[in-house]
This record gives sequence, C-alpha cells and structure tokens, in this order.
Amino acid sequence: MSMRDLTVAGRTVQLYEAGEGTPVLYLHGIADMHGAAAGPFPFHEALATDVKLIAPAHPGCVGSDEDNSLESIEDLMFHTLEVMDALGLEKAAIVGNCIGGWVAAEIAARNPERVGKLVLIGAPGLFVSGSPTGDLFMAVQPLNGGIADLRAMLFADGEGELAQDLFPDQHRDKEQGMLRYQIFRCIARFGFKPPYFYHRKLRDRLYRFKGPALVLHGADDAFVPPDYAAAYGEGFSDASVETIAGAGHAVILERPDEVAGKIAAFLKE
Amino acid sequence: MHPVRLFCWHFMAYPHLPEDFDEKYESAWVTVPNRLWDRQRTKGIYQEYLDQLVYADELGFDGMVLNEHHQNAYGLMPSPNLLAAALTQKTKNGKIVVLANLPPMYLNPLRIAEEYAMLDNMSNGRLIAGFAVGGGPESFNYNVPSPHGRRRLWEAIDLIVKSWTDDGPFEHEGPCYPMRYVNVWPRPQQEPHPEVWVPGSRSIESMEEVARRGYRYFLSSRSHGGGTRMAAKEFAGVMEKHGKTYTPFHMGVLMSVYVAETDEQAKAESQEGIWYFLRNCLKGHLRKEGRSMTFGPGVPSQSLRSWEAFLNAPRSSGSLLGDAETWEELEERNSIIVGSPETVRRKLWEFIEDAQVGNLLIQFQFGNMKDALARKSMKLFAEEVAPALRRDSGELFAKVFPQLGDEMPVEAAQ
Repeated sequence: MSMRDLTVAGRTVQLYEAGEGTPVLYLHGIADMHGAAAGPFPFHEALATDVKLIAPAHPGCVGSDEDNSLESIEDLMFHTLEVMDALGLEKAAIVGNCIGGWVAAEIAARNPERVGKLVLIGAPGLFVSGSPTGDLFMAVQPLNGGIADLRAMLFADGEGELAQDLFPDQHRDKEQGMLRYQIFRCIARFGFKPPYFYHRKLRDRLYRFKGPALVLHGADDAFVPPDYAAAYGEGFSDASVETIAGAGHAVILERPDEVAGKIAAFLKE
Repeated sequence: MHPVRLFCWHFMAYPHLPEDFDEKYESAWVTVPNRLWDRQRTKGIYQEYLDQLVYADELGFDGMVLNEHHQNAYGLMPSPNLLAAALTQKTKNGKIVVLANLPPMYLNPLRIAEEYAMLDNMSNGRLIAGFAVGGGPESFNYNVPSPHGRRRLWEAIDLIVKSWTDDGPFEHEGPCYPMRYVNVWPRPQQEPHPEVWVPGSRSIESMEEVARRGYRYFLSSRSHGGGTRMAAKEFAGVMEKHGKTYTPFHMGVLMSVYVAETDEQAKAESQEGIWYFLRNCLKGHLRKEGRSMTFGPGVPSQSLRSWEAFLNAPRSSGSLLGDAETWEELEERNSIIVGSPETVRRKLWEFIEDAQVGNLLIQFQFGNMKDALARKSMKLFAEEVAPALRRDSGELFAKVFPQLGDEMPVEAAQ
C-alpha cells in the first residue's frame, strides 16, 4: 500500500493505493478512510487482496486541497472525472461508500462509458418521498458536550467500541478532530443546502447505466434509510440489492469481511 | 471633542419560557418548539420593547441597536428592519443601528439595499447599516452552507454599497448574485452612504475585509477586558497595513450593563433576568450544556487553519459566557457589568481606557427582566454614568488620537 499525491486542476489530491490487478476506483464516505482515519481500515485491506484499489480523498479531506468553488454534487462528480483522467482510468469499476456512492451513481448516469461495474454502499443521492436522510450536520454538533447522536446515525451500535473509538465525545487527538472537520466542511458545501443529500433528477437517469450494479445497505442505517437501496435497485437496469442485517451506515466498518467478500465476488463474476 | 458613543441594544428575548425549560429543552435556537409561544402573555411585547428603545432616544443615547435572528427565543427579531421602521417614526435623534442584516441568507441582496435605503430616508439619515454572515443557528435556519457564507457576504456588501453610490442601472456579474438590473430606488439620504458596520469575532480574515474598505468593525464575541484590547490592537494593525489610521470610532463592542442605586440592589434586581438570559437564551448558542449550534463541524465556517488553531488551544479557553455557574464567576468575566452608578462607571472607564474602543453597544434588558427595572437602569446610566464617561473619554481620545481634531467629523475618518 502507499499514499501519494496527484495534481488535478492545480490542486493536490491525496491518493491511497493498495493491491495488484484490475484497478478499482474507491470513493470514500464519512465513516471511512480519509473521513474518520487517515489510513485504511480492515475493509479496504480485504478489498485490495484481489484488485488494485485506488482511493482518492475528496477535496479538503486529509491531504487533499480544498476547493472553494465546490458547491454541488455535480462539481464533485466533475472533480472525480478529472481524477480518473489524471489516473488514465478510461473505464473502471467504481466502488462508492456513503457520499462516494452518490458520486459514483452520478458518474454512472452521466458517463456510463467510464464505469465497468458499479458498487454502491449506503449511498444517498436519490429523492425517496417520505424517507429523508438524517441531519448529519445537527448530529455532529455536540449535545451536552458529546456526539452520541452522530454515532447513532452512523452505527447500528452507537455506543459500541468501534463507534466510540472513531467518533469519541472528546477529540481524542488533533488528527481525528481535524479529519472530522475536514470531511464535514467538504460535504457541507453541497449537502447542507436543499435538497440536501439528493439530486431529484438522478433517479430517472440511472437507467442510462447498463452495466452490472451491486447495491449494499446496512439495514439499520440511520443516515440514509434502507429504501434508498431499493430505489437504486429499481433505477438501474441490472442491479442486485443486498441489505445487511444488524449493520448501520458504517457497514464497511461493522462488517468488513462480509462486505468486502460480497464485493470481491461481484467484481470477479 | 469626540466622546465615546453609547448605544442601547435590545435583544428582545422571549420572556415566558417555562420554569423547567433548561431541564427539558436542548436549545433556545432552531429546534425550540414554537408551541412554547404564549399568545396571551405576549400581547404587547413588541410595544414594550420598542418603547424601551424610544426611551433610550429620549434619554440621549447615541443610538438604538437591533439585530437579526431566526426561529429562536433569544431574540424575537427575524426582521430587524420592521422594528427599525417603527423606530424611524418614534425616535428623533439617535442613530438606528441594524446590526445586522444577514445577506448570505437571502437570494437577492438588493432587497437589503432597498430596505436600508428606505430606512435611511424614513429616519432622515440616521441609519447605520450592519451586515453579518450569520452564525451556526442561522445556517441551520436558512440552509446556507457555512463554508460559502463569507464569500456571499462580501459580494453582497460590495454590491449593496455600489448600488447606493454608483449610478444605475448597471449589471452585476456575480458569481453568487448575478443581477441584470441594479438600480436602487430610493437612494439613501446619507452621502456617500450610511456608515457600514460588520461584526466579527476576531478572525483576521474579517478584519482584513473590513479594514480594506474603511468600514467599522464590531467585535461580537462578548470577550471583554484583554480580549477587546487585543482585538482593537489587531484591527488597528490591519488598518495601518491598508494605509488607514485607527480611531476608537472604527470599532464597536457589545457590553451588558445593569445599574441600580447600590451594588447590592443592582445584583438583587438584575439576577433573575440575567440568569434567565444565560441559562435559557444562551442555550444552544454560548453554552456547553445543550446542543451547541454556534460553531463546529456541522456549521464549518472557520477555515481549516482556524480550526486547527482551535483544536490546539488549551481546553480552558473554551469556556463560554453561558457556562458561568455562580455570580462571582460572572463578575470575573466582566461581560455583564452590574452595580451602582459609581461601580459601573469605574468598570466601564477601565474598559474604555484599556481597550480604546469608541462605540459601546450596551444591552440593558436581559431575558425576562421587567420593563420598570430595565427603564430604571437605563435612566440611571444616562443620568449618572454616561456624562462622566463622555467627558473623560473625550479628553482621553483627544490626547491619544490627535488626528480626530475638533472639527473633523467621525465620518471623515473613513
């Protein structure tokens, strides 16, 4: 594995790379590498056993430069396309978690020719009437000095060790506090304003992606309700949907081997 | 002589929160349920608060201050301009300070240019035009991403001021507010335009923007004593860098005061209102207890550099005004000054002498404080504290800031 910097449109993009073989672009989320920790989690290492995993950090996250012109999901999508261009990835499998899943879905709808296989994990991005996403921004604001609300939104067991370790009430160290601020500042640019974490027209455009898609979702996801997975499943022409019982939004951290295994099997098919 | 300018600031708190509010509710902001609004007990509330400001004008204060907050029990002024309009018709002399309107919250800043221009005419040129970015609660209220706030604020301010000074119609290109026709009617009465005030909480970025344009900086952080002096020094330094000379009138600061006949009486009379203000009104804003909405990763307006500095700062520096648990702790902070006319005069004089800030914006009414007490405090202040402060500050400023001169109006310092 290695971390390296790439220059895209004059800005530094920090990149994590691991494994050998077919390149797979990994777009991260909040409870994820680049979001909650600078390095990879067991999930990423498991995923990289059979493929070459390439994971850029979104603008402003970890060592990636901020982009003050970023103000919509479309901007983040074009940025990611530019990252693909810079990497020489004409067409690649894309695995997107959380916000990264939404970006992956946008790319698949807009430039289906750039996407081989598509994996979405706990992805927001669609308008599902009556099922709004949770308010992450309020949940991360301390209540009586703690952020139990954020942990409960991201994990099936918000008071469990994993959740407490990654999102403690106190900034355990400066790095963790910084990383959290960075990812929230990045996603606030497009997700804080209406319509928050969806793009109303995306659902009707998903059909444009004809390749195989795997849609994974924690059954207890309190940030992105599980019916988003069903909606993605209906929207794509060739998708299978799997809901993972007992897991929350941070399903890659809560069930690393299970999720990595399903993805590896899907990519091998 | 250029004595300190003394303004009366009213926050217009909701005064009828239930006794168990602090136990039951996490915030007085954004999520505070509006079923708590009591239609019977609030009859006449705006009249009472407005009349206190009219009284301030009669008592000879230099102006009345209003501000903008939404969906909260701290301040019932989602539209300060409506109250300012009422004041234009009921007051005669004092400045009407709207501190501030929040341009980032609006789709079209021309509405603010128009309303401020109307207020300036309606008040016969007495408007001071404030512009602010809005804090965390306001971001939640109006769904504005905090990282975009500053950019929107400064584009809006520049567009508004240009709409007052340049001949229209002209086209504005954006990027935040592209506008085909900018052609504000009426134009403001003051030339070239009303004084512009911009609040900040000591960030260098804000000071730079304010100083570069020659506007007035208002320190909104309620950090008194040493904090204000440091801010004044920093701002003076930034002004100098932009080829301008600092005078005390380039800066304002928020104070809170209660005056009564004796120290003991002042404490006895003001306690209930002050604790209501601290425990209830500041919950969700300047208190650790409850949901803190004012700053943090959910409303990330600070740059990454500023946040890093915040994380590196010692824990103790994070203590907020609303965290005070005892009266003694409150007195140490010097944010709320309570006492006899002599005590209040002495403490304010020490502050003026130390910080050399020329605009004191003073809160007299706290939380659920009764009308009669707020008025008595204002009257004692105006009659027994203000004259000495004006005399002493006029002499001090003349000595320390000779460039103020005798004839030179404050505005020329721009």
